[in-house]
Amino acid sequence: MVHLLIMLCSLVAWIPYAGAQAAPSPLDVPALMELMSKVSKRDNHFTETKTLAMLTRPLVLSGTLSYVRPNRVEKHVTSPYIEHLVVEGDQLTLSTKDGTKRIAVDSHSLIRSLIEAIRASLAGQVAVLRRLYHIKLDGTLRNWTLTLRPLDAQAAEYLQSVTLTGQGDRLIKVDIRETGGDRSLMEIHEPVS
Amino acid sequence: MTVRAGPAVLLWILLLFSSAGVIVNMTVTTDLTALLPRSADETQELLVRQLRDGVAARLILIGLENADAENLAEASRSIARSLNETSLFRSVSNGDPADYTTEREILMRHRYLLSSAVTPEHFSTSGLRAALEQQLQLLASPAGAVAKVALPGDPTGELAHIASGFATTSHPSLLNGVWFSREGTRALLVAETRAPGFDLDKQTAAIHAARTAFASSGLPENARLLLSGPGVFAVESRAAIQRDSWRLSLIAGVMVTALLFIVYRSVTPLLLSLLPVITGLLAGVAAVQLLFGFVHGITLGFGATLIGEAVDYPAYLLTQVIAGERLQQTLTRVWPTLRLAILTTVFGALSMLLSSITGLSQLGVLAFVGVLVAGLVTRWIVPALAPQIVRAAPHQILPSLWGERLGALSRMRGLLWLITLLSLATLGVRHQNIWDNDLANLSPISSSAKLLDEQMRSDLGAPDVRYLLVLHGASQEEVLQRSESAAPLLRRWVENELLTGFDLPSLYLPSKEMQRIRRAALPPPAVLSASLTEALNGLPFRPGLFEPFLRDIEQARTGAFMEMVDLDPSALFQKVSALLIQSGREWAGLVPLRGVKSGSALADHITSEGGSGLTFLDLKSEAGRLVNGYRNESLRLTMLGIVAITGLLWSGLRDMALVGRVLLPPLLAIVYVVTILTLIGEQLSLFHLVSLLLVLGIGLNYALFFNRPFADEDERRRTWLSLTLCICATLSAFGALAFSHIPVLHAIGFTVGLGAAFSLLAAAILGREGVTS
Repeated sequence: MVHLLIMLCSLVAWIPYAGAQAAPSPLDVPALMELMSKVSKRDNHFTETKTLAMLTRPLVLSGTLSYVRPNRVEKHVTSPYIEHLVVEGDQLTLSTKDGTKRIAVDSHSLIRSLIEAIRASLAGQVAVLRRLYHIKLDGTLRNWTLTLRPLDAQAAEYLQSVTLTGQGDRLIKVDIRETGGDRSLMEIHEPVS
Repeated sequence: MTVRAGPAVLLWILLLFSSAGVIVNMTVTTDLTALLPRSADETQELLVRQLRDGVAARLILIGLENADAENLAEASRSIARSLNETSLFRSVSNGDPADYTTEREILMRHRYLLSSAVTPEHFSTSGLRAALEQQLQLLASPAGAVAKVALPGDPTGELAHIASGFATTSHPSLLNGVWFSREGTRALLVAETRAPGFDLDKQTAAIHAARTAFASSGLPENARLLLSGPGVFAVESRAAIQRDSWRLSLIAGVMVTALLFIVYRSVTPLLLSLLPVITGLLAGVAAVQLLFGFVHGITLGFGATLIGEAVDYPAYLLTQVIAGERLQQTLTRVWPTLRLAILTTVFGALSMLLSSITGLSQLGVLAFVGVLVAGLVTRWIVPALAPQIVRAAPHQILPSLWGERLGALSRMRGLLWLITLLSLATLGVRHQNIWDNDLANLSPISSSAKLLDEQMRSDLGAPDVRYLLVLHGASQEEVLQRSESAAPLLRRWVENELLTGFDLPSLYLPSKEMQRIRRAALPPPAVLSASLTEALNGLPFRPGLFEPFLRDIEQARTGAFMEMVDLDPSALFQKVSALLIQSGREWAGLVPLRGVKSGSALADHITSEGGSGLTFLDLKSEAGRLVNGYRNESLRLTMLGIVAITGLLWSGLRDMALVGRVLLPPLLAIVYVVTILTLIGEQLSLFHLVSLLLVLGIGLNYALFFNRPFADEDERRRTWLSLTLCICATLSAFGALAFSHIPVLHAIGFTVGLGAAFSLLAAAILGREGVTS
């Protein structure tokens, strides 16, 4: 009985603390972005599954995704073919076995929207995201979902939404849905050792 | 008014009215090419055509700056939209990809005739397989969402291939979806006016529309609009010249009027002084209009300068009046000299009148008729309209020492010859630097405006074209075939870094022969369908996805050839119409060359490898040649004029020594002026040349009056008053022009003012000594 009482007391004593753990400061976009911006370098494996109406089976790509502050994102596809995509500043460079192509990030508003959904989120640039997207944030800091809907009419013609899922400062999933029903789901795994 | 003068006055009034009648309905053009020689060779004709009708002459470059990039991009879109709504522009581009829908559709429709990738192997099983694998990879990339739209119809990627062929030069950078300067601080647009570049009124309207669109684009107040391009330059320089010439004319007018008033102390002689020059100008302009059917703006400007010496005619008459005598009596004394003064100018103009160059012969007609009429008005109308007794001009207003000082100048002859020798030696040493052959220097555009133009052009990846390759042929087809065979050559030269890029007419419109070859490479439906099925084996494309591809190939295989009109109404049509020119029965294709390292090195390659039917054109040196031709002809005619004037002087004076005394001062003055201009580094343009002709006219008049036989000391002093008045009037009128910042006005003012002063000085030094009767 005494044991039970002690247990109960200690349990009661724990309550405020546990409450603080379960409900941290209210989750908002600036706070999340602040957290993301603290990470200056990332390098992870990824798997991307593209489900397209034109194709009878999904395309599955894998490789590595890396980010270097402030504005460099690299996507290195290693399977089923080799492709190296580098975005730095305003330049997008795409290298394949057929050669290297360079285009401006701004050459199409859809390309800009798609790139910034990932780059600005990793960099924690809330202003850039706000300019391009209507933003909705759900969940907790431990388990959040950021839903982006394009504001630009030209981008909205092709793109329905980009949903980013994360845990703390880790981005774990990017789900891109196009207007025609095509979908691309990128899962970001453990860091490259 | 005397009864005898009645018919003359009546005739004068009739002349005034009929001239005014012609002038009211005259056609004034500012088109520079109207002045160019008609007998120009083929290359020059092409150049003239480019200057006149070329797309380059119709472009207005628009820059927006001093606001944040988002706002600038938004304003760029709004300006493009509102300019497109006016009927003034053929196209307005700001780089927005949405604006290229028409072009994309046209290229898509004709892709199998336009693409240089179309060969039989391209549509074989292995060719298709490689293309499909590439498309699959593209689908997975970030560009996939955009690329997949075209995929079912164009799995072999012809559209992308055609577009990459156009991109032989650097593209302007994009920011927020529109063109921006490299640093991202200035949004850029290119507008092509419907009206040609020389139609300055329409260009003014276009510029005004751009300003209005900018004002309502919602940019903050401190944002700036920058405009550049040939039409903008032409409009701005016209405005600047008008502004400056009005201001300076006003200053000169006030000064000359004040001068005349000081001498005559009465309004009547002042008004009488203006009659000859005004009548002369009206009659001269009317004569040009009647003979040519149009008057060029430059003829008007220069013509007014050329007959400027007519302002002096009444002065020679009115200052010679002896107290109490009638003007008729004065005239009998002065007329022989005045007549010779007028006739020398008329003869000088006669030589120009015979020129084959429209511009020069218009000037000749204007000067010939203008000076002749001004002389006749001085002889017949001024005395008829003058009051019976004109108050004598008080020659006492000149300091009495003035005459002696002027007379004493003759002791300086030794010095005069020394200076002449030095001048000639200087000119001999620097004879290569005397002439200015650069057409661009004639333009009154400031160097900062030129710099801005260069900057905007380089940001837009459209530098001013200086080098051109011209493909000749008897038909459009022949020119297009030449264009196709030049393509590999040009690509090799690009690889060898002789140039960085080029444009070819056949990129936009292949020859019929090439279209036939490409069409023959397209397989019939059954064959294609079988190859495609085999190529798709193992790839995840949905069955039936490529039906549009099969349909489009069949359509291209059995459809019509592509014609030039099929490109209308797109930017591609404009492009190809600028690059393909028909002149008479000849056709020419233009190949603008960009980033040429060395013109002469490339010219060597073209002569050794280019084959026949190809001409290399350096627009800058061609323009120089054109100006040279113009100048050489005017020089030759001036020489002819001087010979005629010498003959005239001989028949009037009958004294070879006297002819020398009259002819030498203006010629020496011209030598001195040219020497000074060369020494201060100002090269001689056509404007200087015309001004020198006026110096010749004015100088001859000075020398003629200086060398008149004087009856007494009083007459001598009266003549000095005439000459003093004339030189002061000339110096105030042209001296004012010399202070203008506009090269044209400055050149005229400086040359004439200096030349007149030197003429008078030389005439005084070389003049007859003492009083003769």
